Amino acid sequence: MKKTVLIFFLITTLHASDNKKASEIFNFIVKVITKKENSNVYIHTNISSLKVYSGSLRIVADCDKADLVLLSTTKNLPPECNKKILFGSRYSHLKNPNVIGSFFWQKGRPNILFYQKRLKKHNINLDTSFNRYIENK
Amino acid sequence: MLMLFSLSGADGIDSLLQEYETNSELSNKTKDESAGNLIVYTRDDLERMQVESLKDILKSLRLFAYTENRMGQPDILNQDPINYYSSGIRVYLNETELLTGITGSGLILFGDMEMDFIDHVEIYQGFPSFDFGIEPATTVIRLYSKSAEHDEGGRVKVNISTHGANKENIYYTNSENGISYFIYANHTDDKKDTYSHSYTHFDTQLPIPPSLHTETLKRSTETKRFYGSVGTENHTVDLHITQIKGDALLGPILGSIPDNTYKENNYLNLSTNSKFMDSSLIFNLSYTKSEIEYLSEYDIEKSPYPVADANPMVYPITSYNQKVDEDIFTLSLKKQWNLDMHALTLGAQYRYKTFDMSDRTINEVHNPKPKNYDKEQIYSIFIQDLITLNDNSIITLSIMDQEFKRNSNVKNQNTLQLRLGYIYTNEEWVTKTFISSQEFATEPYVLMVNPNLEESNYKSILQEISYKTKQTLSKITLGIGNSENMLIPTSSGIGDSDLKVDLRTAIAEFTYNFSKKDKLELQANYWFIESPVTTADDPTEHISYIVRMLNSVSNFDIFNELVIHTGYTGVDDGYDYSAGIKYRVNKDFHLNIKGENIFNNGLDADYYNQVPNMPAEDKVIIPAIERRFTLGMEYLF
Repeated sequence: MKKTVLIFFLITTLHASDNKKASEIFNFIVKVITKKENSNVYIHTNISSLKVYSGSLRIVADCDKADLVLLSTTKNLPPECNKKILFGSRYSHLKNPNVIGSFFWQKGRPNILFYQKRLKKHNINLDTSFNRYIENK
Repeated sequence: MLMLFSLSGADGIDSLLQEYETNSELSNKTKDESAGNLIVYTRDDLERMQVESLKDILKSLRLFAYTENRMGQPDILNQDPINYYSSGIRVYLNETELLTGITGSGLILFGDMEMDFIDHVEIYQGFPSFDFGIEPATTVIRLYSKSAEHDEGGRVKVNISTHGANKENIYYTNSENGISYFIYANHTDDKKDTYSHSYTHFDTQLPIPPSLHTETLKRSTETKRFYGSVGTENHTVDLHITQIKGDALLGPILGSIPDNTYKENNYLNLSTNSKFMDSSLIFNLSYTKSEIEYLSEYDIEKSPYPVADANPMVYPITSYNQKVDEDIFTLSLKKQWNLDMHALTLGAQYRYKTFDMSDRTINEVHNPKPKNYDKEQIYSIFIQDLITLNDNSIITLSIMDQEFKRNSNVKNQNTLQLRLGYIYTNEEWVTKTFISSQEFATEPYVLMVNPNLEESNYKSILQEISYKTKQTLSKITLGIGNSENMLIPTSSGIGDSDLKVDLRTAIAEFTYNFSKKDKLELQANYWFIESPVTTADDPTEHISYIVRMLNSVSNFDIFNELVIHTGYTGVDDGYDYSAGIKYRVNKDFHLNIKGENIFNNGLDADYYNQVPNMPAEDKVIIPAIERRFTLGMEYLF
C-alpha cells in the first residue's frame, strides 16, 4: 500500500499518534517519580497506549518486581501491589488513598494531578515543572 | 488553586500535554475531509463560543441563515408558506440519523436542540459523501456526543435567560471492565417574546365585511430529553427520547392568525452500532417512533382558508387539530476494503416508514385525512472508491442509487447520485474539487399535497482552495450549479418548477491564530439563486459576513461574533452581534454570561398570514433569532 504521509484522511494514523503521545506522557511521569531511565512497571489491568508503545518502560508480569504500578482500574488489585507506588489513569482512581496521582481525561481535556501528602508518604519529590499539577491535599 | 488548563508556552510535560490534547480532539478522529466542504466546531470551539443550542451554529452557517417555519420549528431553507423546506439537510447524532417520517430530515425537530451533551460538530456542505446515510443530502450535520473516553464523571448545568427561559441538565459517564456508558437528561423551558400583529381579515367564503384584528403570536416551547448510550469498543446501544411541546406560532393553515396554538412532538429512537472485522464492517440498526400534534384555534369571525382535503368540508373553522403517528426502521450495512491504492466502500441500506395522518379533527369533529398513502420503503446502495494517487493526491468516485416504493396511488421514484472528487494536499496547500449530479426524492409531506411531483435534481461543481501557515488559514470556495424541479408554492398547494434554476456561490474565509487560545475568524459568503417560480422574479442574491473572535485571558474565555446578512427578499438586512464571557472559578465550577443578538437587529423572518389575491396580502415579520441574555453555571463532579 502506498504511503499516505500527507493524506490526512486516514484515521488510523491519528489513533496511532494519539497512543504514542499518551505513552510519552506516562513514560515522562514514571521517570519523574522513580528517577530511573528504565523503570519496571506493572500494569493493572490494561492501558492501551502502553500496550502499543511501551517506550523506555519495562512491563513486568507481577507487582513484586515493579517500581511502580499503573492502574486502569482499582478493582481486584493484587494485595502485593498495595505496597507499591500506585498511579492512576482516571480521576476516580484518586479516591483510593494509596494512589499518589493520576493522568486522566476530564471535561474533554487531559489532566495530571498529584496529592502532596501522598507524595510525601512515599518520599517522592517531583520535578518543579510538575508544581502546577500538585494539589495540597 | 490548581491551573490544570493553562498549558501554553511551557516545555516538558506542559507541551506534551498540549500536543496530546490537540492530537486527541475527537473531531480529528471522526472528520472526513474527502467527504465534502467541511466545517468543524471542536469541543474547544463549542465551549468557548458558549454554544447552547444547534441554532447558535446554524445562524452563522455559510450560505444559509437560521430561520423557522410557520409552526416555529427550525427550517433554515424556509420557503413560506411551504411548511418545511429543509429536507436536504440531514442531521446525525453519532451514527444515527435524526429524522421524522413525513419530513425526511429531522432538522425540524432537532435544529434548535441543546448542545450540552455534544462533544463536537462536523458540517459537510456541497452535496457531501454518500456513505453518511440512506438518502442524499445537500448538507450533512454530524453531532458527536460526549463519551466516557474523555469525560469521565458528571456535570450539572443550569442557565437562566431573558423572559425567564431556563435550562437544566445533567450527564454522567464512566467505563468499567471494557463497558462504557453515558447518560444525559435535560429540561429546557424556552420562553420567548410574544409579538402583536394587527391586520384586516377578509373572509374568503362568507359575505361578511372585513374586520380589524390584533393578535398575539407566541412561540415558546418546553423540551425534555433523555439520551443514554452503553457499549464496548465495537458495539453500542443508544436510546434517545425527546418531548417538545409549546406554542406553534401561526399554525399550519393560512388565512388567519390563531387565538391559540399548541404543538407537541414525542420522539423515541433506539439504535445499535456494531463494528466487525477490525472496524471494516459496520452494521447499524435504528428504530424511531414519533408522534406529532398541531392544534390551532380561531375566533369564529376570522376563520382561516378552507382545508382543501377536508371531508366533509367545514367552514368557518374554529379549531384544527392534526396528529401524525410515525414508525421508521432503518438497517445499514457498510464494508470497506483497502486494496493497494484503493479504499473501496460498499454500502446497502434499507428504510421502512409508516406515517398515519388519519387522526384529524376540524371544529372538534373527526375529519380524517384520506388514508391512501401511509407507507414508504427505501432501498439504497452505494459504492465509493478512494484512490490514493500519490502522497499528495486522492480521487474519490461515488455512485448511489435509491428506490422509493410507496403504497396507494403515489408513484415510486428512483434517484441516482454521482460524485467525483479530487483532493490535493501538501504541507501548506489543500485543494478540493467536487463534481456531482444528484437526484432527490420527494418527501411524504409534499406528496400528500401533490402525489404527482417529480424528483428534483442538482448538478454542481465546487472548488475549494486553502492555504495554511503556522498562524493562518485562508480558504476560498467557488461553486456553480443548476437545479430542476424545485418545489414551489402554487395556487393548489405545491408544485414542481419547470424552470432550470442557476445557482452560484463564492466563499472567502480567513482564520488568524494569535496564539494557542486566541483566534480571529473572518468570512464572506455570496449566494445567488434564480427564482424557481417565474423568470420575471428577481434572483435572490444573499451575502453574509461573519467576524468571530475567541480569546482566553487567565481564567476567562471571551467570545465575540458578528453575523451580517444582506439581500434576503422582503426582509430588512440584519446584523447579529453576540458576545460572552466564561469564568473558570476553579477546575470544577464555571460561570458564564452571554448576550445573543445584543442589539436586536438580527435577520427577520416573514410569514404569510393572508396570501396575495385571497383577497389581500398580509405578512407577519418577526425576528428569526431574538435578543437574549443568559447567565449560567456548570459544576463537574
